[in-house]
Amino acid sequence: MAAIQIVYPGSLLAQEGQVAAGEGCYTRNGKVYSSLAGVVSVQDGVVRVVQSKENTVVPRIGDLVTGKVTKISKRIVHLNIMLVNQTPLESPYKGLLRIEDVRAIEKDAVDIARSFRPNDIIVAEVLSMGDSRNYYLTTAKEHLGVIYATSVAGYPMKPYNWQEMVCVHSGIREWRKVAKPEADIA
Amino acid sequence: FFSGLFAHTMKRADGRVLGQFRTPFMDTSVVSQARGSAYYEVGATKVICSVFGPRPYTSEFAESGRVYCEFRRAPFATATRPQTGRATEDEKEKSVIMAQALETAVILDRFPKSQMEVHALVLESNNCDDLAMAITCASLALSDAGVEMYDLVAACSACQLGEHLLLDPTDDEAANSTMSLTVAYMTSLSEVTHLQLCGEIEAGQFHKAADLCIAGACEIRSLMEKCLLKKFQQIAAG
Repeated sequence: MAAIQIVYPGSLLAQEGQVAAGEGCYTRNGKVYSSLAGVVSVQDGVVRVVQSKENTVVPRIGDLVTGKVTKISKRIVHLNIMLVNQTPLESPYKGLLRIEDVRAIEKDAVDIARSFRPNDIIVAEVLSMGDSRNYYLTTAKEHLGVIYATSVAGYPMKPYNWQEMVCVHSGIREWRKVAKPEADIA
Repeated sequence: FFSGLFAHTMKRADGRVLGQFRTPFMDTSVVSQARGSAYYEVGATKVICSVFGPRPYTSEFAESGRVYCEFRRAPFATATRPQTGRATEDEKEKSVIMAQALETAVILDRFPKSQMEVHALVLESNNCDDLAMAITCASLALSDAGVEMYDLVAACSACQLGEHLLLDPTDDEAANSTMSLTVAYMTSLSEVTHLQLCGEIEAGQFHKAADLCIAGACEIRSLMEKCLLKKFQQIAAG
C-alpha cells in the first residue's frame, strides 16, 4: 500500500515542467509548492493537495449559488447567498438580481413581484463580481429560479410550471420564476 | 576572549545554551466554533488564536482578499490588570504588525472581496515577546483553517545581554537586555515577513542576531509541521 504523504504550506512538490499545479498548489520560480497542509497526490500529470477540511470558497463568475431573498423592489431582488456550488458559506454574501437578468425571454415584461417574494430560496448563477457590496446574479436559465417558497397560507409550495407554484395544503397557485426540477431536465 | 571561546556552551539561568529555545507546546483545532485555531505555549506565555472567514469585505471593491488581525491580551494575562477593556495602543500596533506579517504568506487572490479574520488572544504573558508567539500561532491557525498560504510563518526573537546574543529570551533576560530583535520568517521561501529591532546594536552583531532568529524560525517551523502531522494522524485514526 502506497504511503500517504503529508505536505505543508511551502513544501516543494516538483519542478514546473514535471507536473501541472492543481488544487492546493501554486507555482513560483519554476517550482510547484503546496499551499495547504494535506495529502499530496499526482494524477494524470497534475499534482494536488487535499486537506481534511473543506476548502475556503467564495462566489466566482459562473458558480451556481443558492440564496434566500431578503428584499424585492420594482427592479432589483436582494438576496443572501448561503451556498456556493452546494458548499455552505461561513457568512452569507450579498447578491442582487436585476430585472433584466430574471429570465431570458420578454425581459422588459418581467414583474418582480410575480417572480420572487421575500424568503424564497433561489438558485442563481453568478454573472459578475459586482461592486463592493453585492455580487450580480442571473436566473435567466431553465434550471435557475425559485426552488423553495412558502405560500400565503404558510405551507411549502411545489412547482407547477415554469411560472407558478402550488401550495401543498391549500392548493393556491402563486406566481414565481420557478427553477426546473432536476428530474425534469432531459 | 574567554567568554567568546565558551559562548556556545555557556549556560543561561534556566540551563539553556545561548542559541537554544524553550520547547514549545502547540496544538490545532482547539476552538470548535472557529474555522481554524491553534494554541501555542512557551514557558509561561500562552496564546490562543482563532481564524474565521472568508467573510464579506464591503468597504471597497477588492479583487484580492485581506487578512484582518486582532491581537488582544486577556485581562488576567499580565501581572497588573488593565484598567479598561478597550484595546491598548500596544495591542492595536501589534494587530497591524501581525496582519503585515501574515498577509505576505496568505494567497490573497483566492478569496476576492473577502477577509479572513484572525483573533489572537494572549492568555498569559509578562514579556514583550508575545507578538512573535502570536504570529506563529496565527500561522498555525490559518493552516488549520485551510487557508491557502505560500508558506508557514514562524517567528522568533533574540536579545543581547552584554556581548552575547540569546535566542528566545525569558522575561528577566529581555528586561535586562540592550537590544531585542523579532523576526517572522517563511522558511521554504526564505523570506522575512516582519523584522523589528528595539534598542541598539552594531551592524555586524545585527547580522548574527538576524541569522540566529532565522535559524530559530526554521526549528519552530519543523515543530509546526509535527503539530499539523499529529492532527492528521489523529483524524486518520478516527
